[in-house]
Amino acid sequence: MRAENYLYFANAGDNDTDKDAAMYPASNFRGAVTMSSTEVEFFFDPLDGTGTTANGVLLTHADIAANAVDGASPYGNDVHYTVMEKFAQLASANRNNTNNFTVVKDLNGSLPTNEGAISASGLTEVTTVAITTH
Amino acid sequence: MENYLYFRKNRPISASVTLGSATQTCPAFAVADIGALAGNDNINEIAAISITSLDGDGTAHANVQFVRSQIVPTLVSSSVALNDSTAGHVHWIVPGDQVYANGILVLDGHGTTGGYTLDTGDIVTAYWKTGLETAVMYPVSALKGINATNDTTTTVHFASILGDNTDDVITFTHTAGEFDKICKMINDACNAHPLDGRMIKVYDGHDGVTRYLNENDAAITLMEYAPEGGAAGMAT
Repeated sequence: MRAENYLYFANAGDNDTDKDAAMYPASNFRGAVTMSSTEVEFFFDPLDGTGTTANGVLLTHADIAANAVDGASPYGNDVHYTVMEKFAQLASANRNNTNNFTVVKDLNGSLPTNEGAISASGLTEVTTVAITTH
Repeated sequence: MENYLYFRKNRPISASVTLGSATQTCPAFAVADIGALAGNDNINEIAAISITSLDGDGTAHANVQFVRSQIVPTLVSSSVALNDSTAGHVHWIVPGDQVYANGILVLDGHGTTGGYTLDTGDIVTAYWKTGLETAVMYPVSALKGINATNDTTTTVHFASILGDNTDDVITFTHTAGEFDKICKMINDACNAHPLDGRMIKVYDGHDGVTRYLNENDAAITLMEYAPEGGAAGMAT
């Protein structure tokens, strides 16, 4: 059996609507790209079997910290970098004797009793999750 | 376990052009500053645009009265109107009101809200921020190969995120003959922390200051990113 790590994402819905939540094996991760100064999208193999048109998980985060003077901006603290780095840590976090189930972000907040967030709520920097599937 | 390779273009960065004649179509920005011009069309990647008047002969729309206190992520303006007739004054206009294609800005004239009629010798400066496709991360397993395009250009190919038939390509411009050092840099990034798996910052050009793995002396000056879908191809 291969020790695979599984990455879980959920938006603020109740897991009762299409694309409220998704889980992908870490090995299906294709890459991540910044979409704006407040968005980074993580792409995975699509679920339709075609191999084309990747599935995406768009994560929104805080904007870049304001700088007082151009050219001296604190861009080293770009939030997208932190989100990518933490994602990499989670994706590689599997160890023997764990269930290898990793919550990247779970925003469920109003689920019925006993159906709350599965475990940790995930990356604190992420404020919204939008899942695109194919 | 595998590593993840992180790359960031030379963003944020600012670049200026000087008007050779009184026209609203600015000269193209320099490739050395902002990367390939073809497909560099994303006005939303530009946080701010300033115009420095050579001799006060340009004309600003009445609402062009911005005074910079910060540029990114949001331009903060004062309510103080500028004196348009003074040489050297700097006017700030809203990027979203302008047209930008292939590295060339076309500005609205002063008759349009937010516009500014340029004059010969005026200096237009744009400030690019972190935006669409300016930073990317790939798993090492997506790396397909590295190719020396010529003495000063090396391309790093990854399996396409979109998954069709064309690679995603990162292009480095560097000192002549340093292809092998680029290869070593990528190799080191791929094989670092073999028992762990981390994100490795391979190249980071933020603030126009290049930083790359292992203090590599390939002297990379520019990174361009071309995903399979082309510029803005990843926008969903």
